[in-house]
Amino acid sequence: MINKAMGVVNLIHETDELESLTATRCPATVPFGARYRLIDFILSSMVNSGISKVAVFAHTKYRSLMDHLGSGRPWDLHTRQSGLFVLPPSSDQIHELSRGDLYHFYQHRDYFQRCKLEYVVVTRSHMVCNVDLDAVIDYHESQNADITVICKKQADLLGGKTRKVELGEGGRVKDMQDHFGNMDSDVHSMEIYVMKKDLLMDLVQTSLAQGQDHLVRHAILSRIDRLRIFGYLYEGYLGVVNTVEAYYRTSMDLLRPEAWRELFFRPGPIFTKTKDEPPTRYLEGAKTGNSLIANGCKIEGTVINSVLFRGVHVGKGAVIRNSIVMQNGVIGDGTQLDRVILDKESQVEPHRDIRGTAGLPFVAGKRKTI
Amino acid sequence: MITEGCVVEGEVSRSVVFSGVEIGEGSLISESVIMPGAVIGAGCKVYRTIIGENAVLEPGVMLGSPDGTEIGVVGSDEKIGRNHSLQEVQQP
Repeated sequence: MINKAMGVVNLIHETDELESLTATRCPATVPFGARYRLIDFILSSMVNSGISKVAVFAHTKYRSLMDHLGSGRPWDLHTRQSGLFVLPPSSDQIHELSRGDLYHFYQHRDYFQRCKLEYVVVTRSHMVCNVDLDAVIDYHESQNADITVICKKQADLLGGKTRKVELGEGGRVKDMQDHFGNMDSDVHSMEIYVMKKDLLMDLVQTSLAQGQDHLVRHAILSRIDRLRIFGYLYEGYLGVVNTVEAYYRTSMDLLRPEAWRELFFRPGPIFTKTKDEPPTRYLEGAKTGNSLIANGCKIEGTVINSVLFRGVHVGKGAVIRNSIVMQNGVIGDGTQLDRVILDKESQVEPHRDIRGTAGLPFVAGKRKTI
Repeated sequence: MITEGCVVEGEVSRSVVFSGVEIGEGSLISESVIMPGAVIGAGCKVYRTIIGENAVLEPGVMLGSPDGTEIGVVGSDEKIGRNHSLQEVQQP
């Protein structure tokens, strides 16, 4: 276990096409996988890799983020020194919110300068993965790289949007393009960048002084020829959750036992905010198959190929297929759901029949009654 | 009642299943208590039995009977093979 890196979860201008799922929250705290939030995966990867100092760049709609992270106790980040820092935009002018992430790095430069760790791992929150960053830093050092970006070779991303990467000989990054670019490559950037802290600070100041304000798009991409940028190929499970389609299809993908085992246990466990709920009760008439069901549920109907979060109540004779029901959802007696995403605390009245399609699941916003 | 962290590929009725239990394909668990971390192989039949922590039942094990009145107990960390018959618990 190393402790020579600090982590940054950069939530500024994250690609967000999650529509009503992010109406009241940022992508980082979108509930995922029956009991987690998206940010849990990268935070857990960091602490499992021995990183004990993590900064989260909050940007907009971060109330639920503050609530979820709290003191950082679930990730053992509630230490006296280092630990978890949530860095909100420290601006008094509203239009500054639209400026790029380099500007925020610059505003919080004191935080970085005060820190004595050698490396920084800059990440996003929408990558559902379980990665050993220790091995990445070893790779970074062995390649004598300036920047290492973690990549994943995968043909189908289930609707997620990523930067594409072209790797040359020895893993050197030859080119990188935003998701809408024409580049034809099945290597995707996981937006996890490892570099020396001094290099990051230098990039921040130089690029800002050149009138540029995006870390990856400007500071890194414009220096692909000058810096030694390497791609580290990650072998584990990856879900890129930044569109509704990707959210739905990645959730359904987790119902494959191999995907579930790979994501939740290797190389380390995924931690989340603990809620002490009683075990789920399966009452008379309950029938479940191929589903992820969290604690605190009460099931009196049929649940097949679905993800139920904590405290969901499935009424008598209700049939839920291929759907995702978030915390405290109430499904009335005899209701049929197929390909539906219900946000937190939704209610579906008895004897309704709601259906979406695989590419376009029906999504109900938080606290809606149907 | 089934808590988080279990993998159930068989059938469970009227039972309490603790965290981290794995129940193999085609198994039937009825009126039983399964403690944390126990692994039940495929095709097992378990009636009216208490299974201790981290115990392992190999595939195809039968314990108890549907209309039996006795309650079987498998100790913690025990490994039960296919030809095992449960011994009566001695009262101290």
